[in-house]
Amino acid sequence: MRGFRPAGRDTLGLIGLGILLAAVACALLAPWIAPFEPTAINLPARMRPPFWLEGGSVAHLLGTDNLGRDMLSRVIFGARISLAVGAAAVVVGAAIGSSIGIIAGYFSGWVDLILSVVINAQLSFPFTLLAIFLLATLGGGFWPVVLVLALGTWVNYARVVRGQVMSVKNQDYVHAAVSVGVPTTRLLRTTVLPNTVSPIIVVASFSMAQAILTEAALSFLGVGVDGSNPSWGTMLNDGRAFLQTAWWLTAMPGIAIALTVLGGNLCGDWLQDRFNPKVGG
Amino acid sequence: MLRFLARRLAMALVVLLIVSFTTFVVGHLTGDPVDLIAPENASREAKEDLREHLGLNKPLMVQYGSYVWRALQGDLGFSFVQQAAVSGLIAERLPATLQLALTGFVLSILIAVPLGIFIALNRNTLWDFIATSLAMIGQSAPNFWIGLMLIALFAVQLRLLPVSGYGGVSYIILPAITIALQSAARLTRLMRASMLEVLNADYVRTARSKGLRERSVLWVHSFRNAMIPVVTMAGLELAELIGGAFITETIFAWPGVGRLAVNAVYQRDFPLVQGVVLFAAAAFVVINFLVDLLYVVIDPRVKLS
Amino acid sequence: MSGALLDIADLTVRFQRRGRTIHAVRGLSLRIQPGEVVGLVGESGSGKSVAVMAAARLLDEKLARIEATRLDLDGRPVLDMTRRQLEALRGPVVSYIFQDPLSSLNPVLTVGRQLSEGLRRHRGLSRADARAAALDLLGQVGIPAPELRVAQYPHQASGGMRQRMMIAMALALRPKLLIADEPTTALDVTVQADIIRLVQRIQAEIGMAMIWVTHDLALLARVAGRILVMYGGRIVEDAPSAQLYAAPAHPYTRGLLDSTSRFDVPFRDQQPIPGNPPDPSQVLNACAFEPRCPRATDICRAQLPPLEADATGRSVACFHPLEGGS
Repeated sequence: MRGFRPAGRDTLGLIGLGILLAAVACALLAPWIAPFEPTAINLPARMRPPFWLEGGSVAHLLGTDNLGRDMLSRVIFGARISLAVGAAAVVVGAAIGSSIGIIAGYFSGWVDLILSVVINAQLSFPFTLLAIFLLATLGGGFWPVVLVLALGTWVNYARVVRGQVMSVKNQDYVHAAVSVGVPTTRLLRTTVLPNTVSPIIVVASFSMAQAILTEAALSFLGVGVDGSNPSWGTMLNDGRAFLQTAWWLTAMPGIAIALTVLGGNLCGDWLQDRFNPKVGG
Repeated sequence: MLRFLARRLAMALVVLLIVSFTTFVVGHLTGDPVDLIAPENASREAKEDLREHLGLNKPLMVQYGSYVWRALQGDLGFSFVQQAAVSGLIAERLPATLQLALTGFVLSILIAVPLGIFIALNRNTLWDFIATSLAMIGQSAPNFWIGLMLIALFAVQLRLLPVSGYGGVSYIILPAITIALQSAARLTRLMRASMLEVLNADYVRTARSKGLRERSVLWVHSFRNAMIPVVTMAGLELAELIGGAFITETIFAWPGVGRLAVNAVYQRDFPLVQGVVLFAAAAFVVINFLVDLLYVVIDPRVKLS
Repeated sequence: MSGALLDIADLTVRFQRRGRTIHAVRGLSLRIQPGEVVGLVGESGSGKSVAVMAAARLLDEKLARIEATRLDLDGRPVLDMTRRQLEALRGPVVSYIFQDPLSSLNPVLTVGRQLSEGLRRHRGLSRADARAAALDLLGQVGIPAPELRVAQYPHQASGGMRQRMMIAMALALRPKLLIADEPTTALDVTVQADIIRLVQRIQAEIGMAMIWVTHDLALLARVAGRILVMYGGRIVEDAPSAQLYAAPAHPYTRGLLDSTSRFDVPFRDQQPIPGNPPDPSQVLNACAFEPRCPRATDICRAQLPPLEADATGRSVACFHPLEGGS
């Protein structure tokens, strides 16, 4: 047992990146790699278990659902919705959070005080219930879900960006640039932005994982993205009714979510380690 | 210390104000409450009377003020769907929620603290690798999905435990494990990291240089210091369990506040949802404040700064 | 045999870090007699702290690999000791003062607790007796109002006071050997002299042996009878202080003296030795100082110079030592 060396940070990070890339490939290439149409109903072949169980077949590797639709194809197509929601939430959240973080960090004073109160307030509040409330009252759909998810993650960006801006702002070359009259916007673009890229990437990686998890929870509760193409969370909700007879309807989309989120978390850990090396155990 | 606590208290109030204002505004976006309450064939005049009676014709800020004032007195509004006071409905469900949350919380602490310390002391062994990998996976899988899989395995396949519902001890096992696993995954990783950091600290080296027994080095000089960040995180976890175990409560048909809220969402019972959100925020704020008080006890640096 | 209190021969310490091996100490030998005050000097990264930490096996042995042909403290082989034996050694035989008193004191325990726990552990004192002893110790190191201080936490004291507490702690059991690792580096200049005088006074009172670890040769001139110069994980020169200052034999010692002890030259005009210290991840088969040495020849690049004693009691590890104070 002694002297056992677990896989290095880099290995784990690359595994995470590999998982994420595989998920993205599934999403992009779904029509070509999925063996069936995800919506093709085939009642004679309904409720088939995965291939390794009795009654399963190689034609439907992960089994079929209550309408005989192929689970593997549905999981592959589900990646499209889940990843699209996650990616859009990251982009929107990063845009909102970084802008606010830059403003808070750069202008200090009252603006900064108000924003840090808001940031702290949101960090100390359970967000999902509020998200359900908002979506239930205002209606679901792709963009509402994305907006709500962005609303839940922007503070993370705002916090790190604010910190970076504050530290960059006090460096000599920035003082020098201000004193010779370089415009503020240009300063922000040339000195602050490059320094905030790596923390934003780290936060984005974790937020992507977080967004996919939250989207699954929202869809599971029926306030998520609606559409003919179900996300993994919607599939979990659909499968739940058959938990007693066909557990794989619930298991497969859950595994897809867990793997993708794991990929995001591993990537995030790895990038954080790379950008901010700290001697660890 | 007083300054620290005063600042935290001010923050708590700000959080409650922001949350109450958000829920208030969103509540107003959902439509005219008068339409919900009044009979469909009510005359225009009758509606106006009702509006005036409920104070809905006053300016928005005045309405918000009286909403906050009533909330402070424990009146969180009236559920027209259930025909009952929101605070009464919450109070009715609170014992079940506390029962589940506290069971899950204790379970997660009992897993996370010893396990985190053990793998920190045995870092880079196979045990460490297995435990940290499991924690990583536990953090990545949707918690309610883990709950569903536990049902499929222990209730459906093995028939050891009931699928869902509320009753004897057997009913609480699966939901408590479900919420404990998620929180234990986070806390174990934090406990490990915190313990490793403390074990590398200069003062631990000093303790060893004095010839103290390894036992004292661990429990007197490391454990308490390593617990400081864990206590904060554990407080957040508990608050989240009390205010936010709604999906777990839903899938296990556990008659708690969370399930109440989810059902209220489905029934578009907005005053009830609004009330639960505010309750969850209050629970969060109160527990965080209690954690801050606990902090003063375990970290003397806070007391005196 | 030798009667030495600390007797180290051919000590090596290696760390495994991110798949690389760091050679922190590469074959160090030294002897300290009872009651002797010795200075150990070197640049940061020369391995001096690691070497003195290894003497009581205070390094994390999951990361550090310690080997030596001899490592005896008080006549007993440290490397063969069980954990229990090591614990009994630390405190009564050898104790330490570390560089940063703030991080070296536990922030969540009172000063009294940290002072008395060693006494209770090793002497079996009762709580009340240990407290009385702690008060006494605080008084000895010149801390005013000890009754107040024992109930306080380290962060409530100033840097100088904290280092006095650290010293009181290290002296609680009247050790035979005190190792002070850069004890004044983290302190204000005005406080440094007080702390040095305090340690000197107590050393004279107890008559214990002492190792001052520092990068500051000027400091050692005042406190140490003998000075060991460390470079690249080895001792390169070992000489009585007066002799070393008057006539350094190793070119590195010469360089150190030139760069640090010129009181007549403003600090910013002082010349550090050109070049960089050796890469600790490389295995060395030659003189570690050769790349920076003005006197280097082919033999310096081919062999490791042994540490050899001359007739005057000075040892130097150099093929081309400076002769007679040149």
